[in-house]
Amino acid sequence: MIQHIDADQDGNSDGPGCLILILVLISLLLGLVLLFFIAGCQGTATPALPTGQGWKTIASGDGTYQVLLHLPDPAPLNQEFTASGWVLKGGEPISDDAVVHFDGGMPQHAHGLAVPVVTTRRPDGGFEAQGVRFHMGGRWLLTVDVEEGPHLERARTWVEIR
Amino acid sequence: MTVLLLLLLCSGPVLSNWAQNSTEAEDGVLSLGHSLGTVSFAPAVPVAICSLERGGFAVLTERPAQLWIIDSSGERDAEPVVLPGAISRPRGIMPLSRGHFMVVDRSGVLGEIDRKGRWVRTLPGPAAPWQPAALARGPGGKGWLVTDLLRGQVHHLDADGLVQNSWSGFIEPTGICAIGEQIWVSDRGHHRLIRFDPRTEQPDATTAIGDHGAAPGLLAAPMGLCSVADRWLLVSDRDNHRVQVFGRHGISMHSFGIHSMLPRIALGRLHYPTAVAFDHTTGVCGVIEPSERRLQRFGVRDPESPVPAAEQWQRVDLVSHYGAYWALQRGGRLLAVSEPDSERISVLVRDLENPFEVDDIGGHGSLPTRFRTPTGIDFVPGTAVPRIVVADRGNRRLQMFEVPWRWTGPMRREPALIRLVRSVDLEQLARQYPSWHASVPPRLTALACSESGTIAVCDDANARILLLDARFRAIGVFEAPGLLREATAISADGDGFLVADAQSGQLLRFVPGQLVPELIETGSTMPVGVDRHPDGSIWFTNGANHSLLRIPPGGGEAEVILAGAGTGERQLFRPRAVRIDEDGAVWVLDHGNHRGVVISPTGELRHFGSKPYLPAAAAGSGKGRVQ
Amino acid sequence: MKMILLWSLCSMWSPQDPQPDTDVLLDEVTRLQAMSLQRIAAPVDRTNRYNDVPAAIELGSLLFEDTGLSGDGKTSCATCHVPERDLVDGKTHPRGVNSIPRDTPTLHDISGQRWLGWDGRWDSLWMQALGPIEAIHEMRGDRLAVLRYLATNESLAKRYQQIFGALPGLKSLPDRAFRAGVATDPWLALEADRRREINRVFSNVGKAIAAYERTLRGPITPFDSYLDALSSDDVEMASLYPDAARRGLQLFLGKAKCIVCHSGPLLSDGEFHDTGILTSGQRARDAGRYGGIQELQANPFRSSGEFSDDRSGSAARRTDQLRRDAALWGAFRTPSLRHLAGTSPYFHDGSVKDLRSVVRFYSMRQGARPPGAGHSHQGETLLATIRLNRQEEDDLVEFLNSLSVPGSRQEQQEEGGSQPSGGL
Repeated sequence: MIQHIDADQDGNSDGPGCLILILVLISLLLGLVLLFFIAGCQGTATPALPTGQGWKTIASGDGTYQVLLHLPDPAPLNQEFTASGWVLKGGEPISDDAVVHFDGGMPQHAHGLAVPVVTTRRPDGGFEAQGVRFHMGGRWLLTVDVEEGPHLERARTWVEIR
Repeated sequence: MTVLLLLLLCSGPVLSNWAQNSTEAEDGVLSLGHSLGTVSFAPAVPVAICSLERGGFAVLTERPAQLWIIDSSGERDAEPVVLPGAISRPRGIMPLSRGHFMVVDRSGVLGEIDRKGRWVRTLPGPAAPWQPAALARGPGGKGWLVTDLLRGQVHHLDADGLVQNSWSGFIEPTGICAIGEQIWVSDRGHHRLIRFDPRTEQPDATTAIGDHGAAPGLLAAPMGLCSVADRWLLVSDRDNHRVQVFGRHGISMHSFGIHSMLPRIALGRLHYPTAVAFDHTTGVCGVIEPSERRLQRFGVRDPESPVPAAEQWQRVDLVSHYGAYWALQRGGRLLAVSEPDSERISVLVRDLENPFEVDDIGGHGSLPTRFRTPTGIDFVPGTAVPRIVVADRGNRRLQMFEVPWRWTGPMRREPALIRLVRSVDLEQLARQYPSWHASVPPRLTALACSESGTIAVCDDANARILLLDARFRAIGVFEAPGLLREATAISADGDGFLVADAQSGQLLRFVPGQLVPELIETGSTMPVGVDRHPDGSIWFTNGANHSLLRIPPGGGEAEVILAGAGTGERQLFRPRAVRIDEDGAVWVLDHGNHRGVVISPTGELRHFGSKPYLPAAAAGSGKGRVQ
Repeated sequence: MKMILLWSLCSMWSPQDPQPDTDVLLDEVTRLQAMSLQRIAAPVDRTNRYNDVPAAIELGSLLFEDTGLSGDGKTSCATCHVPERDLVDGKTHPRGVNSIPRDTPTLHDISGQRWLGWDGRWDSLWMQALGPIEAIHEMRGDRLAVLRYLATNESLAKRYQQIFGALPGLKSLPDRAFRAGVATDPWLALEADRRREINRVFSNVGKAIAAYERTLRGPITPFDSYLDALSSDDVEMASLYPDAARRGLQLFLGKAKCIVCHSGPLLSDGEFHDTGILTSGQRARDAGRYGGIQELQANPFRSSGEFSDDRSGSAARRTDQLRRDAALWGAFRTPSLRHLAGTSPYFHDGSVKDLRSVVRFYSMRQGARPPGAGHSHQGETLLATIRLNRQEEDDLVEFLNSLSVPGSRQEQQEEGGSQPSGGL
């Protein structure tokens, strides 16, 4: 609580102790403001962009999102694995409200994954889809759809399975 | 007393005969398929049918709105009953006692008429606006069941027409009936039969019967329904040109009808059947074919006669049936076609003798890249890689695709060429944009993209045009209450949009920032396609008389360019979209003829599409000239 | 001189035998592909915790041949899966409301399959074992009758109880739970707990049979021996594999592209494809995987159901995540090609008599539905005409024969033919 210090009626003020109190209180207040400002500027921690084996970076159709997708390298034939990754928007991870859908298919053979997968958001902000299985060898089209409110944007890439 | 006894004794055998015949008739359901002939209603369009207690059928037509009685032998009454004025576009009929009928009109009017067509009473029905598509007796014979296309709902009304219960979750409920206590609904948008017990369940499309397709048990735009002896269900499987018979267990047990091509002969062939009814006294099934202006009657097949129908679906020649909309790439070679029958869009290279399809995308469903009836389509101008926007009516969304096609040599199909960029759920978007709030969800039809990047999509359900930018953000809305009623076509026109309104017969020109559109009279027509020519003239198609017309630059009387219902060189049949390229070539989507017609800037005519419908198929050229 | 000329002429004009492939160990790429077909141990099935219990296996072996489980007391699993005939009967049988014919598949190495049945209506071996017991065209039994049979057979009852615990009482039980595939009213009137108890017994019967069936490993075949030779670089052993079969293997992996679907240790991807087989009449109503998914997800004995011993595992997840899709109408499970020679007829409907006809169908696609036609616009386009010549067909057949032991092949040549049966 900040106390307002007033001069008494004949113009005499209190001694220097009151001034010190005011200064301390102001400092505290400034410190609090500064603390909130700094905390507010820091969003969720930006993960370091993973690179290396198994990681692919794909831009969505209009460039709104950057998808960092991880698959086993090489991706196995007819065995289940987990596809996972991150979606960034303007360099930052997307909000927890955004929905991510991972899917795959072989459009040249007019089929998708034999068993559709469910994509979930992880507590760390990433996404994962368990049970992905490429049941045939050949070229697979992988898609990652990012949905925010009424809008959806797609990122896609190909992978060759031998 | 003696007389009474005598009467009872005499009627015994008659009653038992009727009962026996009735059972036999119903058991013959799995052998239906033998054509017993047709009843023509031309030029009127038959739209609804019900069976009569004493045998025979009652059929409602529109244009003009009439009631016809067909007796058990298939003979039509000499004169129809003229319907009251409030029933101009009837959609459902059910028999009542004393020769009365319950009828419902597309506008939502519901009521009882007598055998002379006079109003007896009006029933309230659901709150307006609503758009009924079917009418049936309620479960257990109590009250009425009606469907509402506007809201995708089904209502149970009591005998006085008051709503007792309503169910949502449908897309286009086109047919309805009750079997015992269960309600069955055919949903054209889902391509499924949705059944539920109204006492204990909610309708669930995910567990419904059927899916989009041609195989037995699959459906393509199911329309009318009727039950037989609470055991079987007859479903008119419209786009498969057949009637399927389902058991109560939901398994398809039988089907009859093969697609009739040209000439549209009957003899068991069907062409887009809609309503269906079963005469319990004779075991005859009546099937309405509005496009043929006729009713076909089917009886039991001779067990000795060969039945090739089971093979037919496997050899279906799935030729493109262009829908109502298509688009030309500006400054390019591509043609994008919306095909609602097959729930897909296709992209063709157009500047060839026969446009070549390089890829298609779609399939029925709600997942990204799928459609529930694609409608309007247009290219987005000024993009490095060609982009298309498609209105997805059943999913109430827009989808934007990229087509990174380049000429590399011999033409070939390239699977997965067309790629989804983005989509937007318009119902959700409307919640974020107050000007878009409406009483009913949007029903998307025509679409156009302007040079400035504005996307205009017609919302049929709310008589307005929604405006978005290239990132699918809402930027505005065109409304003209009283002026804009049923937008059937739209095209970009300089700083505004040209809109064809089939209900008013007018063309309207909307310009952003102007409150009132400019009205362009076309005469007494039903414009269903429109575009502006580089020379300033306006070209439009007339759905009422199968023609293509041109309004000269600066206005004036419309000149007929192509006319006449037929497959001839200068004829059209149910034409829809018109698109004009920057060179002045006019592209007409001749929907009913499964073909496209191109008029070059020098007046030469060219046709492409399904071979049986090409005018000079025998000569092999497909070319002609417009005078 | 004249004789020399004559001999030269004759040798020029005599039909040339195909040049033998000198590299019996195959080139590196082909060898790697071939090695991917090597047999491996069957995956663990956690939905049945009795799989490796010896007593359960023994009980299962007895039940497999026990006609007491059937409605007429004359039929057992072994009636169609004849142990002496590669676990088939060489027939097709009608099933379902529409009496659609389905070919009896072999049970050799069956535990390696992810889905069972031509349409994948079962997702575990124990679930599959229950299907024929109550099927109207097969054993025509009933779970209540099975319970009574177990309870009144002292030996079986004792074995059962030692493994699974006490059998429920028989008091006030209705005659049948199902009649013609429809639940009877008395069955539905039973308390839910009671029905659950009885279903539990029924599922245990399936689990015992499945435990036995998991032991049905097919014999080592010439192809298996060849793969062993490849893995150990044993030229001598590899040379024992017939040249024709080796050429057939190369076609299988190369020009004919059979491996695209017939991949892995069972030479099957375990999934579903529409090969475009045209059917007629009642047979035209076989929905394949499309109908199979609906049946599977409605069946209480599925992997995610309450009688599964692992309701949250990967098998359960797969079943629950399946989605009905019209594109799967008429798609059937890629069968394993192991132990094929003695299991004529072939294809899901038993419409083809011999392996040559199978190869010919894929080679020439004669009578097949054109790609893109049929149930939807977006049809399977994988299968195209290959146009193998006569020699290539022979080689491919030889390769397929090498996936069985020689005795089976002999038997197939003697009998052959499909015999559509009107029932058992």
